[in-house]
Amino acid sequence: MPNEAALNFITDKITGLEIIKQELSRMFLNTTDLNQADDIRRDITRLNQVLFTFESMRNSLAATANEVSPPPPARIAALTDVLRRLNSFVSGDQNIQTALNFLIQVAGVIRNV
Amino acid sequence: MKLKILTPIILLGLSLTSFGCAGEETARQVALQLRASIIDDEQIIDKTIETQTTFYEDQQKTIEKYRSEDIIFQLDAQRRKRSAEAATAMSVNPQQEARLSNLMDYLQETNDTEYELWNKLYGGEQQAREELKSKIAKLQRQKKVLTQVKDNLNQLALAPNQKKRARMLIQFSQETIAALKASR
Repeated sequence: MPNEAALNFITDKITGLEIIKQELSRMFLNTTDLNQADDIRRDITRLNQVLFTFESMRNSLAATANEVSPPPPARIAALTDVLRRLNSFVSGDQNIQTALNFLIQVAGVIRNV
Repeated sequence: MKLKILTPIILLGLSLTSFGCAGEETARQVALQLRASIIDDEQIIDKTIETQTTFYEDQQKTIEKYRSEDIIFQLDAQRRKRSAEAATAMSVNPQQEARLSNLMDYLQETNDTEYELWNKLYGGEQQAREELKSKIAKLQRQKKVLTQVKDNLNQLALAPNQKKRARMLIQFSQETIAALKASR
């Protein structure tokens, strides 16, 4: 498949961000603090915008006839590393604010890598 | 692709204007070449239609997915904002504000606002669907024109000594050029 490496890379980013969104949605539904719910709602909305952009990029990449160069190994390594950190996250194991900060930070790294 | 088709069509026209035996034979040869080019272009257009259709359908699904997810949070934010405003007004001036009629107005306005929000979000979806249909229809029109050209070139290439038909085909070629330009 042409552009397979680039497609896999973007798919991995989407998968990571989807996991974070699921976790944030779970927190949003469980919190009783309205101000915190507002913050989480804003984070989820931002994350949805990023996910929409990445999924649109993936659709374009799958449709293009042009060859796109594969991502450099350093970026793949950075993404693998941050996804490993995300996998080690155990929901409900931490203070909600600590968990939020961690998830937002990981989402930022995945987005920019 | 445009030049690939148009140049032989012009050559075809020039060849047929002489209407001698040699001119007709040249026209037949050009028609054969042109037919091959058109078959190539037809395959390219088929592939483009397939790729573009898949892309538009995937993108449409992506848009629908995120719109459906976003609307839940947008409605929630709207409700939270409006209920906070109403609660503030009632707590500041309970004698005047905390009345059933005010509460009914608040519920009615909230309902109207939510309805507008739904309309706004789903209005864009309808427009996206129309754009998708229009893009695919345009590609299909181009393919139809090419198929017509190919059929006529077949007739010209396979039926020599038909001057009347050749004249008609010159006219057809000119009309095809115009149709092709219009479809782009």
